[in-house]
Amino acid sequence: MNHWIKGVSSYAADIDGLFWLVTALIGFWFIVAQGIVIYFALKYRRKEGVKAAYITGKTWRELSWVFIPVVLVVMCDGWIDVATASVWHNVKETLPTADHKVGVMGQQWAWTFSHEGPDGKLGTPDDIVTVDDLHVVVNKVIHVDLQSKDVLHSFSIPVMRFKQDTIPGRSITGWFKPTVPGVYDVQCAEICGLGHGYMAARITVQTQADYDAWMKAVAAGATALPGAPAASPAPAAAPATQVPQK
Amino acid sequence: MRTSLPFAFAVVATLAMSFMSSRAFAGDPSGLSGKQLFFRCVNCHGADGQGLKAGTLQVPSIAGLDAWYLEGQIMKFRNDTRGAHPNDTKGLMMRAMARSLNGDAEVKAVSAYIASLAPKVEKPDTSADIKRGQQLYTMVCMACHGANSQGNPDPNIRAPSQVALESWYIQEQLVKFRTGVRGSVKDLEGLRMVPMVRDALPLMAKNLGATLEEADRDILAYINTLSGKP
Ligand code: HEC
Ligand code: HEC
Ligand SMILES: [Cu+2]
Repeated sequence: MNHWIKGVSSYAADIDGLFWLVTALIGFWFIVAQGIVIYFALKYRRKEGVKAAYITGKTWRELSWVFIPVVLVVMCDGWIDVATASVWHNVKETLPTADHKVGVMGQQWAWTFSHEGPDGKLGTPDDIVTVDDLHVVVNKVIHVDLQSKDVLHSFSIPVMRFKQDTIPGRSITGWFKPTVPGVYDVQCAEICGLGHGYMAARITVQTQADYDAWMKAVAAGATALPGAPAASPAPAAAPATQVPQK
Repeated sequence: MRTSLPFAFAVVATLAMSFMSSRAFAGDPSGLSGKQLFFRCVNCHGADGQGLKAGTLQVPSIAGLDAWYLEGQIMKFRNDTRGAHPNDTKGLMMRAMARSLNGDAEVKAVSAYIASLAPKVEKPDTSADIKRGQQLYTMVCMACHGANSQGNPDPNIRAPSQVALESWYIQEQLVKFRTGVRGSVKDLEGLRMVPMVRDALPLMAKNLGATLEEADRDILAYINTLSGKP
């Protein structure tokens, strides 16, 4: 199963479980239905001297071909509903207490992430802001505060099985708990303009020690920010003697 | 058996198409000309590269800029040295578009084509003090951008000609250099601009009794009187 996308969040296996349940049930009925169609198509194919019958579906025997499958399929539906309800409840209706908070801003066509700085609080001047580069600590509950600067985007981390639209003017909270350190893909999953396909980012899941080291390095100026204010040299303007004398 | 021929054809066509599309995604050099590649840019930069205003998004004219400068800037957008600051809203857009080009050859080809387009001509702002603009330009900008703003491709300078640029765009960029949105330790060329427009220019403006806004306005007007020729 290694060629499937890895699942590295606390609820990835639950969501995959639903996926496989749906695939198995639908797959079963697909094969049964196609099998019957093909079997009948062969069995009742055109034969010399046999006239085609006009079947109106009025007898109970004929109607049973509709109603029995309907009942069975609705039962499968119920099965899926029950299985979904608990996962939905745990993933979308429950908000475990945050260990860390991250601000996620979607814009055409990049993701901007605000990390709590050394003070452990979001929305303070020491926040670490990066473009397309999200860092989180393994086995910690991460709350993401999703916003958009311009149009609809969708913040999607396939390995976390996390996907949520970002909507201009709204702030949406989501959560995930990464379980395996590594570097994974982040994408935009909602067509958002010309550059939508280039709106990819990266999430680095790391141990607390690595995360602290990263934060220290950023704070010390070996910054993750390409455009961070430069410690620029003293102004080297042309000497004043070049002032045109009028 | 009568349906078998169209059916076989459909199967072959489907397979052929999926094969072709998988090749297109494999990153082969496209072999597109600069002009063809430029089709990707016209949505924002306009059919002749003269810039346009789409809703609230104003996109700069790039027609007639020097090829070496265009190449350099597109490469910067591609490798996170320009347009990668969280507050650089427009830069982040262009960064994504620069990544739609496939490799150095395409960057070169599209740059050569844009350089061949006729530059946009702007009339100098008559409300400005062009004389003071000249003084400021001569003191602060000329050393790198040249007496006629012809630009300087010398590897130690690499300052572009500004005459093909629109005034609103230059003004926006000056603010970006001043606020650390453009020019960083990763972008040494951009960094050359930072002390000039953030520190030196306000100082010189003060000496001449002008505010920074006036200084910017005057320099922009003066640039529009220059030829851009060496
Ligand atoms: C989605 C709109 C959009 C598209 C499409 C686009 N650009 Fe841009 N481009 C911009 C914006 C906005 C800027 C201004 C960036 C800034 O303010 O720093 C820009 C800036 C530039 C610059 C820098 C100009 C300078 O004077 O430094 C170059 C070069 C450029 N674009 C080339 C291209 C090329 C080549 C293409 C096509 C492959 C392209 N652009 C497609 C929006 C776009
Ligand atoms: C020390 C040399 C130097 C001086 C002095 C200087 N510049 Fe620059 N300027 C540069 C370089 C180098 C670049 C190219 C930056 C890059 O590659 O991103 C540049 C870029 C610019 C740009 C961006 C052009 C574009 O297409 O995006 C503008 C606008 C500009 N300079 C205006 C000025 C003005 C106005 C002054 C005087 C107040 C000035 N510069 C003084 C070196 C200089
Ligand atoms: Cu998007």
